[in-house]
Amino acid sequence: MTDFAQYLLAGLALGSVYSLICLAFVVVYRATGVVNFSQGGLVVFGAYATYQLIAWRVPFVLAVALAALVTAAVGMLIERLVLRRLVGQPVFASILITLGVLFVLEQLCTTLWGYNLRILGDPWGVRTLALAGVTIKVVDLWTIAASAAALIGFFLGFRYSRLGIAMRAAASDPEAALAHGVSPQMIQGIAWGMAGILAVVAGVFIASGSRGVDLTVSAVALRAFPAAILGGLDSTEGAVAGGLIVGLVEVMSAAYLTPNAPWLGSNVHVVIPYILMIAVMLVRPYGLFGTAEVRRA
Amino acid sequence: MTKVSTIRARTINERTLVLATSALLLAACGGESANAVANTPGVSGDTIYIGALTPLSDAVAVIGKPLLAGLSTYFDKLNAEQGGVGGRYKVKILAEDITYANPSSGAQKFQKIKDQVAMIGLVVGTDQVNGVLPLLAEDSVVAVPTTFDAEWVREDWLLPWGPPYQLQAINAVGYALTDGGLQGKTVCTLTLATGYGEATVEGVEYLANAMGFKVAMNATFKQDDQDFVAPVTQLRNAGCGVIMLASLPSVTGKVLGTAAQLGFAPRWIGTSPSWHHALAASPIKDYLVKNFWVSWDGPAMSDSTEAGVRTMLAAQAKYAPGQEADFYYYAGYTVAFPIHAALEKAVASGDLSRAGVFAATQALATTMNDGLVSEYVYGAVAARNPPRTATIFRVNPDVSLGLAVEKRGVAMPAAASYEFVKR
Repeated sequence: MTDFAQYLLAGLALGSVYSLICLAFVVVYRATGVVNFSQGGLVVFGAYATYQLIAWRVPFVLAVALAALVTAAVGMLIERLVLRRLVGQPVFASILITLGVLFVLEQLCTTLWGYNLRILGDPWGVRTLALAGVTIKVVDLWTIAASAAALIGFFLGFRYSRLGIAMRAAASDPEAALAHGVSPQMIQGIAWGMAGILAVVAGVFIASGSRGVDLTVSAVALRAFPAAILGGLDSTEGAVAGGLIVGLVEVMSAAYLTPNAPWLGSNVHVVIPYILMIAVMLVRPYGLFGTAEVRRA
Repeated sequence: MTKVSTIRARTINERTLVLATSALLLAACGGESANAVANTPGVSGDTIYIGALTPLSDAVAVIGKPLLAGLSTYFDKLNAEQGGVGGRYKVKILAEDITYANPSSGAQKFQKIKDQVAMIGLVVGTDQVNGVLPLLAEDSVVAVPTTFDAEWVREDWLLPWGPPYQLQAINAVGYALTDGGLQGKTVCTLTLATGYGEATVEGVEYLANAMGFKVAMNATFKQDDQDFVAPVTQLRNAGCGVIMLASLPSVTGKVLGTAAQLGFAPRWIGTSPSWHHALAASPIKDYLVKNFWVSWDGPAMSDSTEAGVRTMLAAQAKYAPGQEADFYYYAGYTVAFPIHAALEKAVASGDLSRAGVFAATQALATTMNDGLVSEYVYGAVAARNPPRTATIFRVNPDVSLGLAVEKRGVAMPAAASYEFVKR
């Protein structure tokens, strides 16, 4: 039971990070219709930027905030210089372009910071708490809390703020939104900026403690991808649900399937999220919370 | 003086005649310079090109770049201070970027450069070597694997070096269970799910058979795994007291960070690629000091009493001042010794062709390596004998690169009896 609680906590913490990344996928997809495969590049850039600021002795919270601003600016720049030129182009073109942007961002990081592992210097380190025999990593608590705050903030913002309403309007009917003074270009730029902010939060939690920052941090976005599809690419609720489900399934399958069903292979926890995604898509092609596309006959 | 004056006084036609006659005589006598370069891939004039297939842009570039820098430094020094191989042939490296996680990328890049190089000096990644291996035989190209699987020892077209992972594991775990003070502890492994990880497990299983114990658990992971609570908890529940870890640097931090957080403190032993000196300054440095060893060979990089270390660091300061002399740089520099020795043999025999380089690798005895790793006995492939000893390093954040020698020259009987077979 203690082990189960330990796995549950680990799954929730991992799922929270996945949710943040899924939310970034959703924000960009809703505003631009683009599946952003470069999100991993923003995550690793954000982690490196935070590392650099901490290395310059900027206090941790301020370092994260400044890194979020810088990464948001990078996201907006990508949108302005690259993605805006793809309006009206086939979907596969935008997919390939964002993959290209991922490689450019990774190369930028290695040019600026090299390939060596960099210890982030976060305040949590490897500190833990003990509760009823369960070891609670302090960073996990912060991960879950910060992710929950960010997700609630985005959810409420989308629903009730002027910007959120403008974003929803631009996503559902760009021409009508434009007629009401909402600039789709501005909305798209803001969406990429938000993706940058979310990337920093995810990157900081992934790279915390003894894990450190290196290029492998960007891989987390690909691991989160089935979660975004599972939840529904246009749904904030889906981002949360998909991230948490995949995080929990990944940890639980590593904990229980790998040792008890060796015939499934030693790394079944990597495959299970994709199997789950395929199963859900067979029943609901638009994901658990996604919006079904309505077509006239 | 008189002779020179006489030659200068000759007409152009006379000089042409002398040169042509000389060339014919050299060719007829099997002259070294003529035969060495005639129609030889990878040799152009007085330059020998050797290839390097190494990750330069993915996450494993943390290993691939310093490996290449170490190799380049060795030959830059050789070119500048001794005029190159045989005092004549400058060596240049033709490097190609491969993707560590994509075993076919090495084979693709090999196809790209095979006609431009005399041999391949670096192939990084066990799975990459496996991908390239059939092509080496097909094209008669010798390659030096920069991984340490025991399978390479009996491969005709490979020129391996350093202690195989199997022996690293045998000696390190054997040491832990004997002189290391961990007699009777339960042994487990946690390894990357690649050929590199499998080689490490193979070594531990061999030791288990030899010493009569059972490996309680062999757990694996993927390079991009983000959470290690499950495998670490399982290792703890299995009662593991000694765990052999085959990892890459960023994963080592995650694994051991999780173990430290869960209060699990067995004796972790990492194979050589598991370590990065940044870990010695990480939040788990105290945990590492108490619980982590690294298995490799040779002296500590911080040991300035070692002449080989001093020479290498001086070369780094002179020829690669921007490059940090980390563990992988040291490995890249060290791998150059057998390459240099083979090329010297080929030049001495007057044959730098593919067949000549291959024959040279078969004719090697041992290679001088300045004591940076133990001697590798070469000769015919069937008789090759890699270093069977290990140095066990412990973490010491106060020394350069964070590793100090725990025990040098560890030689377990199981390592001595391990047989290398061609598969």
